[in-house]
Amino acid sequence: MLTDDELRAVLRAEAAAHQPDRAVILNRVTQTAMRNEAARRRAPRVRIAGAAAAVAAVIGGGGFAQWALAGGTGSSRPEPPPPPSTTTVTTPATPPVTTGASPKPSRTSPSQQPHRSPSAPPSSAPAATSPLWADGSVDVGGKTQASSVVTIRTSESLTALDVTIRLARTAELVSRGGSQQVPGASVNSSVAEEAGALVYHFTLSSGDTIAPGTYTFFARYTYAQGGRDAGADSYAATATSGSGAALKASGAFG
Amino acid sequence: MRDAAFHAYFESHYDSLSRLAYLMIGDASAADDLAADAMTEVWRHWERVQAADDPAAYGHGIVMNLARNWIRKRSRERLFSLEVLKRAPESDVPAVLDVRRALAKLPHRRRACVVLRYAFDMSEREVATTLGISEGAVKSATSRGAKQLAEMLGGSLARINGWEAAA
Repeated sequence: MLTDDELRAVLRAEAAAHQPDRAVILNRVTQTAMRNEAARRRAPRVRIAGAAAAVAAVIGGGGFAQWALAGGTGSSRPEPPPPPSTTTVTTPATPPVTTGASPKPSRTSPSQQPHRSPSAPPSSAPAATSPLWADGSVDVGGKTQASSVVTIRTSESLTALDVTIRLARTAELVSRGGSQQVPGASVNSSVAEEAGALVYHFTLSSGDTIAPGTYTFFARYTYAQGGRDAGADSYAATATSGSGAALKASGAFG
Repeated sequence: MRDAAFHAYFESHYDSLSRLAYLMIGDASAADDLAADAMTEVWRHWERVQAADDPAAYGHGIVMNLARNWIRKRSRERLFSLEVLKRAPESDVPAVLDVRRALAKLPHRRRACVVLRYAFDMSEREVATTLGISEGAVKSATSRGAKQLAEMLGGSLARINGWEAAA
């Protein structure tokens, strides 16, 4: 039985453990406001249009703000991208990442901590011609919490994008959810518990388009004290460019 | 000016709205979504929010309603994460899950009162305003909810302390 003070401390710690993602919240407010605005386009008094403008003002200048404002006035909404052509360009293969349930590090001695082999492929090595570039890194937020971050850079607009972050099971690994910074587009995220891994999945909403730029995806989690080896983690991104080309990138963290 | 005022409201409250949603539903990602939806509602009813005695309480109240709807929907879909937490084995689970699992076992009103009183330090009067119920109802739901929660968490206090120290 906890005392009142203990209960207060426990609940405050639990509230503090959650890190709200300002960009995600802001993005969703804008998305919803603009959807509603589109539905009420014919209404004589379009209050919601103001919300998009206000939110755009919150985040200041930049392409997203202009896009949001354009949506708000309904005058110069971006045209939908042309339908993808049927020609599929295969990007030069990047080294495939093992996504099986049992990434087995080689063990030379029972006591040795499994480590990523030093000859592991670089995070992402598409040919210079690929418009899609990706990188994985780990952002440690405390002794027992971190985010595995995938940064996607695209030089072309994308009409489809799927990003998967796979975290190999380690001691006390618990998902704290996924989030992303993809201004101007709606992205759905989910976390699945598989036998050997936590799998974070991010999908661009159908009908949305991502402009050329840099975008980040976060898999947040907590783990046991003493650190966590990210050596068996991996990520993969598949995308469709505005011209219909299928693009891929994948790699590891570290 | 309305836009500037909403801007200020967003910056002041998005954080607490999301944390409140998180304690109510136990899902970090969905909590951000609920906070955003609450913000959209705040914008939609901005005149009413501005006229309210406590504009922050208005937003918190919306989060509470959205949280209840979210849980109902997820329960129907059998996907409610807290349902999963309830069924999870007791051992080898980090203390952080114990807190969320214990909260999930409280009825909505008790959970709401305990979270607002204990995690957000609100007075009984503020909680009553936020939830649109009487102060008497707040007092009784808080006391029952806190007792229930304290009993559930009593056994895992040691681990909770360890987790706090580590965080």
